[in-house]
Amino acid sequence: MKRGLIGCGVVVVVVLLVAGAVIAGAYNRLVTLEEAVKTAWSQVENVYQRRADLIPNLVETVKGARDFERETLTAVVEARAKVGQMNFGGVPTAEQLSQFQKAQDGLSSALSRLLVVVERYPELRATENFRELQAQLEGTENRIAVERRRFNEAAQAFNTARRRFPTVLVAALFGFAEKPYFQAAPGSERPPQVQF
Amino acid sequence: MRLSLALAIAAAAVPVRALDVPPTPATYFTDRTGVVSASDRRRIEARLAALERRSGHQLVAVLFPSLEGEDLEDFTVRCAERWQVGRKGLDDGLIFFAFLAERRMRLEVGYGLEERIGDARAARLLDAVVKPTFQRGDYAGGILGLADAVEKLVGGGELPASEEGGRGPSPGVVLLVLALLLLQALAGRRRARYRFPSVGWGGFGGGSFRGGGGFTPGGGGFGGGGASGSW
Repeated sequence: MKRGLIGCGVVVVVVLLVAGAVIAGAYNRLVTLEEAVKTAWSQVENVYQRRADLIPNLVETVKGARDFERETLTAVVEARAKVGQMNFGGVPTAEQLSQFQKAQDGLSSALSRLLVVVERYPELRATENFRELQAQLEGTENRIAVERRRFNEAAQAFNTARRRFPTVLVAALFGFAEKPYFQAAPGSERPPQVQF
Repeated sequence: MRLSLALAIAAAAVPVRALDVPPTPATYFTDRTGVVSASDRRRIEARLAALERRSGHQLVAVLFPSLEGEDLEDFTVRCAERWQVGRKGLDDGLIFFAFLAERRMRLEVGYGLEERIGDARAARLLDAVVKPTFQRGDYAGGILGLADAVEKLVGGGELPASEEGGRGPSPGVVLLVLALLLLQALAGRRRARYRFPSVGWGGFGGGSFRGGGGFTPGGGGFGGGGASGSW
């Protein structure tokens, strides 16, 4: 009888140890994957910030051209201001991300309109300053595409791990929330390319 | 109606990825088109190897026959992610891509070089150095010119610049290695169980020490910096 009790105790201890190890493993894995998502998000913010930083210079350069269309410039400046208000201090929720994306896409379309209008100002296009800005802008759009894809990949890795059993129990226990994705709007995955 | 349906089916049948990311090249320069002569290939290979020896920066160049419908920047950055050109942590590698059918090219610049070779500068490199030579059909000249221009821009100085320093380990290191090998052999004879940390030849100087050369990826990262161009 006594031996039976000891046997039960040993079984309980072993089960607890195994459960603890499983929980710890799942928890640590989620933490690692979540850190990767955070890093990817800060890269996303960096590259968008880089684009925003180019805009004052771009506006100055374009303003210099004789009677340049005011409206397109104003649209860019306004879209830039909207983007400037976006700061979540960490990985955004799904709703925050869709706001962020809406603001950034607004800036993208304002910029692409500006570049289309610039087509009508050959002397502006020919300036060294503008060509340089153009190259920087294209490069930044490319970086944005890259970092957005990497963020989505990191978010997907996290979400997949989070939905698996038994990690899903650990995620619920410790409140690991699902990560949102960037949505690719049709036709907007690539920046507009202006060929000279 | 029927026509549009047929078109839709035809479009769906076209594979999404026509051009797969090739495995990491084993040489600095790879010509997948056959337009560059063997002697020019060797010249480019030696030039790019010298660039790494002198400046520490890895520049890899690849000529492709065609993009096969791929998006240029998307394809090149996926190659860059896989190939890991440049030193780990410094992310100071560069990759030059050219696609002959489309006459398009791209220079991917590692994270760590973005200060010195910004996008605008990369665009100017392609435009001023590579484009005119490529237009003459001189692909080797374009790549050699790019290597010269890159070396000038990065200025070297990261590694000891002397040729001797790059060719192999110093006499002191050689003596140390020999001493360790001797110790290892002695220890192996006396007590079979104890092992000194094994001393391999691969640990020194990356590709330069092996004499034969060839490109060894250093683990560098890319973030889509650089520029695209056409000729």
